[in-house]
Amino acid sequence: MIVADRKPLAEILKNIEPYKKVLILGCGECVTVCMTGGDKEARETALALSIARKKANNPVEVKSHTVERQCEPEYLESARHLVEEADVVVSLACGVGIQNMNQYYADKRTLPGVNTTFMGMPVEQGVWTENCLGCGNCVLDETMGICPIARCSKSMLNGPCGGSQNGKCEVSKDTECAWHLIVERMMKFNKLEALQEVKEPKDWSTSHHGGPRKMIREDVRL
Amino acid sequence: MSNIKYDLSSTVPEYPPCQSGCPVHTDVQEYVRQISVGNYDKAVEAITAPNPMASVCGFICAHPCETECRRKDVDEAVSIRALKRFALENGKWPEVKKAEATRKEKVAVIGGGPAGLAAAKDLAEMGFAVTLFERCAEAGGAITNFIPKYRLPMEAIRKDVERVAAIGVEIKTGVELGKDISIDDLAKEYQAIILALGLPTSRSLSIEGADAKDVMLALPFLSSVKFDNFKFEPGRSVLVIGGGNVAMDVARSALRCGAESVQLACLECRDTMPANPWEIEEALDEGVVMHPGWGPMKINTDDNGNITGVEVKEVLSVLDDQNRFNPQYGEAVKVIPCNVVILAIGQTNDDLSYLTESGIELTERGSLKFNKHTMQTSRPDVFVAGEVAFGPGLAVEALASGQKVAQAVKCYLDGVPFDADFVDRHTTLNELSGSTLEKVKRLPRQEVPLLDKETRAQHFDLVEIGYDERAALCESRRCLDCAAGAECIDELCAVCLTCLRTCPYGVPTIDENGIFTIRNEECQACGLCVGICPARAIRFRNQYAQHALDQLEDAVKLAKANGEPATVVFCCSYGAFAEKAFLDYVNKEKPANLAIVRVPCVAKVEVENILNAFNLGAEAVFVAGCQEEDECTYHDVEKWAAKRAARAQEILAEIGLEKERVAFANLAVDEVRNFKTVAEDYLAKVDAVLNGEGGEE
Repeated sequence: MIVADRKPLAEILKNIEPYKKVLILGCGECVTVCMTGGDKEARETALALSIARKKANNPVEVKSHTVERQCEPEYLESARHLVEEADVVVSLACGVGIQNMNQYYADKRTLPGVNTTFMGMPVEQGVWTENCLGCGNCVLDETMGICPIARCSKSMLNGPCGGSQNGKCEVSKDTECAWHLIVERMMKFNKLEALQEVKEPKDWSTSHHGGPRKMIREDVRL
Repeated sequence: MSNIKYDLSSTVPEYPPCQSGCPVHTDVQEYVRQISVGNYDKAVEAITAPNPMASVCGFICAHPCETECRRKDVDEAVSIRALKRFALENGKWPEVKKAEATRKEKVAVIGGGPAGLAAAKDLAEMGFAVTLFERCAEAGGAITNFIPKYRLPMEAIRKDVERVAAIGVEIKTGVELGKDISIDDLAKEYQAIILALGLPTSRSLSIEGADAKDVMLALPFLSSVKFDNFKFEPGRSVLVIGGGNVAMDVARSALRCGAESVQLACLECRDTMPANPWEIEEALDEGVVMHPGWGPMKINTDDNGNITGVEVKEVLSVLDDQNRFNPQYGEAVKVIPCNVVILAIGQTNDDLSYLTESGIELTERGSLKFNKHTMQTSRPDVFVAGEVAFGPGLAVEALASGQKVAQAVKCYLDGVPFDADFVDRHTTLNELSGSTLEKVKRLPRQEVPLLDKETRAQHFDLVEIGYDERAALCESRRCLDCAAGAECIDELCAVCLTCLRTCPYGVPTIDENGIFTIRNEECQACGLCVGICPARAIRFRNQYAQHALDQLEDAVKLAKANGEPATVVFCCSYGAFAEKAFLDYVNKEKPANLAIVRVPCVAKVEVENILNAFNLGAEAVFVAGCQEEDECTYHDVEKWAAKRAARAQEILAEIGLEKERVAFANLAVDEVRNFKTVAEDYLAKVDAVLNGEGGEE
């Protein structure tokens, strides 16, 4: 799933300062699951903004609503009357949803209410970690199902580096060294010899470095 | 109005086991919940609505609800009957509404016991003119005539009977069918007649000596104890024959009437004695000596006809393979010395042969012939209800029978078909699964206090003292709120599994096909999932928690109108927060600017509720939980309530408000009882924060 962090309320407050009617628009998918931009967060955010503006003697009418997925144009229609009556929309969806809102309701500004951070998963309730960078050329078959691109701080293809200590990354002792994990798993499957092979530098053109990507399935196009 | 309906529709209600087990389907969950939050008036409403003898049931109901209670599989059933009595004695009873006469037809009910009273009440509420004929001086049937005062005060019976009369039932006492009135005469005035005659005659024994002068029958004995102040002469040693509830009443009454000793012999062994286990225990506690598994063979008398003892024989079995009464005896014989014998071996109907003159057929054994589907006798305008038709049972079963026959009579008078199979259709919630059972907190049942067993058999004072408020509140918290809790709103659910990970009971699951589901029937209604679901896709089937939180808006408005700064207390509504001391503070003493919102567990207070308080104009919020973990059925309450408060603090800090505006504390029972001091301290802290004196260094 896509993981995001709600923007600091102070930043959102600054962004909505000129407006008197604000819609906080949640998204029912990834940002709901990572507890950043679902209906609960949308309502809490709306209340927090309302309280802050009252205290600042600049009251604002803040409504909240959540659509199934902000990244699908069709789902945005259900919010039309709320969008139209608002001066501005603050979207709690990932960057995809925010852009879709701006495109679908082109005459209305939709501001980001979150910082979209990574693709990841909950390793425990309330803790999400980054697991995929979307590099466009998956190497998980070579690295025992552990991604060195997303989970190694240096995205190394030939690890580990000298900063790996006691299984942790030198960047943070809370971060596991992906290559340590890869080596352990290679040992488990008796595949350590794979480390002998020196990997070529990664071709990043399949990633964002090659420009914005697009996927087409002609067989399902209308 | 009765919960027993004649309904041909394809959907039927699903009851929790307690409500299903109750023959009149009292909403047990509702009244236990109302007790648990100190709202005894509402509890009384729920108790009295479907039960015309609520007061009687509060004292003596054999509580089939408890037999079915799911908590029995965790530890012990909730003590529902005692809670009912507590509520009825501490809550305000709703005023009786006189029924409007909307029908021209008149119905006669013969017999003022539970079945007759229930039928009469329901028919009156349906708009019929109802006259109830009772041959004794007071209505109430066997309950009035035979149940000893140490178990049931007469005032309780009278209260119930008066309320039935107040609805508009005309009760004519001292009128006996077959002597003072006849079916044919009644039929000239009444379009339908219900025979709810009960089983008012004690069975006798055909053994040698059974005609001795000191052999008594149970029912006349109990009646004369109750109404004629019967006393034994000195030196009487009594043997009661029988092992049912009537036998227990007889034995315990005999003790109270001055018998020197009371023994009891019955065919059944101790484990299969038909009396309720608690009645046997109470009789034993009072000194009744029991000889279970011994059948009477002969009553021995001396030359003067005085009883000297009863010869009894060891019983090997009472019922045969087909469950028919067919006692088999062993060889062992003994004589139980005694000089009075009281036979309590069952009840039967009076001689009903007079009814045949009115076209009402009897069976070969002299009981009423009737159609089980229509509840009619062979004479279409004459119906049956209660024990006279369906045999011995509980008072509450007779009530249900009365409510059923009321439906039958209505259909008859409406000219539409009736089938008893379509009355009272419902399904019952299954038992809790083993995996949930393991996770439900064990909470010991609050024992119902009784009078001292050493001395109580010296008088007829009520044996059961009953719960005090604290015990009742603790006991009511043992209710598992079966299936009243979480259900998933599928169209909103993001299937994020947060509830699955949070639920302490493992209620949300992923089945073997990978399908996620919240098993509502297993839910314990703690509400933790509702509070954490990011999609707001879980709601309670019963809205009581939401209704509690809905009080916030008005409470803040009121607090703001009466002085600044308005401050909100979200507190638990259970335990000490349901006690009179706290409620008196809330209703009479609290400062006007303090809004107190009682929530059925503070773990149900969400961040949104706290923020909403501020948005409505409150300046500070105090979440007050309790330290009554040992009496609380929920898990992890403190952890989650504290987390929510902390999250609200973070959000306030983000918008530049002092974190100290939100406080969370778990209060001890004494602090709750003395909430005035707690509130004063808290309000002083709020003032300090608002004046810039508080806050982090």
